[in-house]
Amino acid sequence: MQSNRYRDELREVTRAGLRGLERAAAEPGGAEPLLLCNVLERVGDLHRLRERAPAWVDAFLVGVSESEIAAVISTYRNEVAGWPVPEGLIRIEEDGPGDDGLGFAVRRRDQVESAIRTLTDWSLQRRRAPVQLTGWAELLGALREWDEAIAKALDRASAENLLSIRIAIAEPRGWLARLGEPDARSPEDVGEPLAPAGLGSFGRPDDAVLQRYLSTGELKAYVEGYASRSPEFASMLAETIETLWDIGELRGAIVPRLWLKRHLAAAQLLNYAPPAIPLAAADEETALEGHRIDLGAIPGLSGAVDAELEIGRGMVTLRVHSEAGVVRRVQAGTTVTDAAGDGGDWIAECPLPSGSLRLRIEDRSGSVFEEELELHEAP
Amino acid sequence: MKLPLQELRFANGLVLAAQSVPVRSWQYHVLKHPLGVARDARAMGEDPERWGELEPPVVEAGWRAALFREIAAIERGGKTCELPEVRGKKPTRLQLEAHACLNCPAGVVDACERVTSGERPVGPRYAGVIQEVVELIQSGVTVHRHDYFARLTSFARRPNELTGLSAMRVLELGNKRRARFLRHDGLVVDFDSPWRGAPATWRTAFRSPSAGTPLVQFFMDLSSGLASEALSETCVVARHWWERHAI
Repeated sequence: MQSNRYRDELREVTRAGLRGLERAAAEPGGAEPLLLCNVLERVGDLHRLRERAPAWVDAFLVGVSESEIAAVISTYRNEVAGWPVPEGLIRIEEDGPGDDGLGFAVRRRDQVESAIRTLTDWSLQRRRAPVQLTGWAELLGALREWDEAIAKALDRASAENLLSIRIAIAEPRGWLARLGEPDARSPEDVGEPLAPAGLGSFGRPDDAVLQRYLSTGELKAYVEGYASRSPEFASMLAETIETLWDIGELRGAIVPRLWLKRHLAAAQLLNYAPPAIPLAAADEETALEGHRIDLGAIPGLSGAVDAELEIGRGMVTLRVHSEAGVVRRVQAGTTVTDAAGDGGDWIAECPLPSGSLRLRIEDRSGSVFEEELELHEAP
Repeated sequence: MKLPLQELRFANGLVLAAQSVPVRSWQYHVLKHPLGVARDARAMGEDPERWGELEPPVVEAGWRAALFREIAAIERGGKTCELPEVRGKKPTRLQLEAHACLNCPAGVVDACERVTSGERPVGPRYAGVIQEVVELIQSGVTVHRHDYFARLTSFARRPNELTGLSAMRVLELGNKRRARFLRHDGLVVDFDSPWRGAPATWRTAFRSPSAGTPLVQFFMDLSSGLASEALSETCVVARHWWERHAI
């Protein structure tokens, strides 16, 4: 419930900010760095909220030049250099001495993450890998360096405290989850072009692209397309997906798991860890929390659709989120839903099957996502 | 130190109580912020939060070294200041986490306050800046937060227009409320009240240490806050700025 309230607040604040930016964008002048930074961040926030930006944004970004993008990247690079790096361990608690400037820096870090998302999309729409943008690798390097420095000072709970309402859009494998995790790849590995020549200008997906794919299933065509051409990358990707799933860090995003299933020609797709209380608990006062699996972005449909499963008390609930007018029908097991609920979500609930669970989501253009999921306890 | 100097009531119902700040808490913040014991590994120079840039400056050139010498020389009943920085030393990990000022012996912390209120009045000037921003907002106008954020971002091309802007928003943390004040020069002031309706007392004041953070984003930070369960619908904005920049 708190998460929904945070999402609602963030959505409203972001849209209010974009109304002001529309005025600023209409004023004479090019895409100056301060204006463009603001647009990139707000648009990225909306995307992380799974919402579309207003129409004026597309027209504005189409007119942005690579030199203006380079200026923005340079602006961010300079800003990151000024973010504080606390000495010693800091715990952020309500009654503590206070977060001071560190809170601003943590929230700015997350806002820059949104800008990186928008920059990645901008780049890919121009058939260019993000790493080909001037200063891109240096910016990602600086952010990684700051993340690693912060990881020595902040525990996860404190960092989430500092994010405040922005925690609502924190991805399972987003930058926050990387705090303290050393990057096994050297900077030179990031975005190296694929050899031999003739395979297009897209280079190897870099960390930012992979992170989005693993967290949300986005950039599927890019990542899976590259995997189809590079056996070495495909092998690395498969290993990454399996490892993350085994350690419980890939509960989100069905897309990577579907790719892995095809890649391995495996029938088994999903398993879940049982909740602390057995599903068959008889004590009604001991309310069970539904075990939640975020499926992430659903591929193959005409609009932005994401879904999650809740498992608990012997039932499975499929909850589908999308903008109005996209989804036509949702099915979980034998339960079919032809209309959205009061809150706008599409919900289908069925008894927890002993074998596989059939999921089907159909959109108004006739596109269908259909999958049989094996649900069983993790070993 | 009394902050604010008098009780202040705001259009959104916030009341700031004129209360004396506990001396240990006050000195903790004076040492940490204007005197630069900020414990930031990237902090540059003597004045990492740039308090010397304000007009009048809260801390002047040479003050830090002189004040540290005086504080290091304080001795009361065998007790002295336990901040290694006043003696030019780097703190150990334990010292970093100890927040020595908050546990300073009574005689030592009282003498420390006299030092920072004397010939080099960092403490009173720090208090003066805080008083200034709350008084400015106290005569401010209450606006809906959406209008505030929309107007703010409309100046993304012209951040100079944000000079003179100050704004405040209330965050609710369970039963507690926190009022956060922001000023265009990067000043952040927090007041906390233990429950809704209770007068708020001063918590901290610092300058956003990153000089590179764009002003629009600095003011947009009123959309967040420390793990708040709820944020107020409204913001209170400096009247003269809001009326001058009507759209």
